Amino acid sequence: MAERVFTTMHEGWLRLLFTSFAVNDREWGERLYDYSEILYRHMRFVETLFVEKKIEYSYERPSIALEFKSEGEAARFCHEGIEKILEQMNESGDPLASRIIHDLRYISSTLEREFEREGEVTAFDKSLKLDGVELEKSSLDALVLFLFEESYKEYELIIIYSYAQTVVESKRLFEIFQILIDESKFHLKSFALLMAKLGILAVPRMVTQEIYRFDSLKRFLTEGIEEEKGAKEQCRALAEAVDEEKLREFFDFINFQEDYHITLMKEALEIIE
Amino acid sequence: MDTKEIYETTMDHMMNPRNYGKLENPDAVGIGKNPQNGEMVIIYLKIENEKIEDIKFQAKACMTTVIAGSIFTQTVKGATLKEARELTSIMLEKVKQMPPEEAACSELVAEAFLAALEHHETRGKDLEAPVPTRMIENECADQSLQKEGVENG
Repeated sequence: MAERVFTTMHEGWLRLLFTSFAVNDREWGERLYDYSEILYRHMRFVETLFVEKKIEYSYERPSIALEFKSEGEAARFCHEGIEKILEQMNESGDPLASRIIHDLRYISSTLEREFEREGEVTAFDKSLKLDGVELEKSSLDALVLFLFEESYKEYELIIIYSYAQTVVESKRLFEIFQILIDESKFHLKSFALLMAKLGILAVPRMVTQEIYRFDSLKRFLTEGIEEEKGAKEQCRALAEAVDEEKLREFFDFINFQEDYHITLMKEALEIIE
Repeated sequence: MDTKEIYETTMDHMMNPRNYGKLENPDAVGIGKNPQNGEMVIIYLKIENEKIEDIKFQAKACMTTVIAGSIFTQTVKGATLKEARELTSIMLEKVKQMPPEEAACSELVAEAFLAALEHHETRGKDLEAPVPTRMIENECADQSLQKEGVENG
């Protein structure tokens, strides 16, 4: 399996993931989300193999621009991502490669059937309206900045915890990182769906090696706990600032969810100390 | 540029930051760092005939810094080193007029760029010259907010 396939899989995962948030047909969006999860798992299977074989790989990747205007174009955008992976995989008889190719061919064929979709994509139109409602200017500014900051942060955490799983030996630590990955995926999905409604959906910038390959797990967790406290504070401030009840409840919910993360990170710290 | 245009430009750079990433085999690299919270910007340069052929940046920092990096790198790409240096001086002068908590983001980018120019000069004499880091003087808005949050709450 070519080393660069890891980067292509990473790109493919993000193409499907962010398209799943972008489309207005939520039933199809959820199916795309499930496919994106399959692609994420492919990437992680390949990562495990590369770690075992001591093959260099990287989570760094090129920027991904979302520019499609219709759901048909969205399907082509995802299809292109899948085909790029297939081009780099060969039928070497390796069982993992065969399974991945089988999955990708199926997903590719389902996407081909969606090429003629005509539904409009409004996730990047910068309308800055939430369900057709204009928010008050200061609430909107705070919300927009928060969503950009936090969508990057959640993506960054998914990458960091994914990488962290390859370097820890404790089974419990691995489990803690898996819970944190799942939590961050949920937060990313929640924030990205809000961004799509506001017309400002974008794939976060890449996470560089200097960030995800931390020098000290202890320092990373200690700083991470402080960052989670900072995120709690931001959610609390935002819940107070927004003049919209559903949004206020949502940010209160996210604020209190950060408590799970802090508890898990503290437990992880105790394990390594 | 009116307020609406500024808002749209800012949004555009937030959604698609320009020149974000790394350059393979750069001619110069520079780091701008906030000593108070560890936030930093790294700038990579490809220079040919005293002209910036290519530029990329990475930021371990807030979104405002990413916007500043995106706009700055887009502006200096293709400029001569002299022009880019002049632009950076103007930017740093403007930074002095801003409230400190708003100034830190632009300052991080400007200092990283100046560090990269410094690296370019020292590499002229020594190819193995280490990558310089320049520290900023202002404090980031996020830090002020966090402190405020802790104090208030």
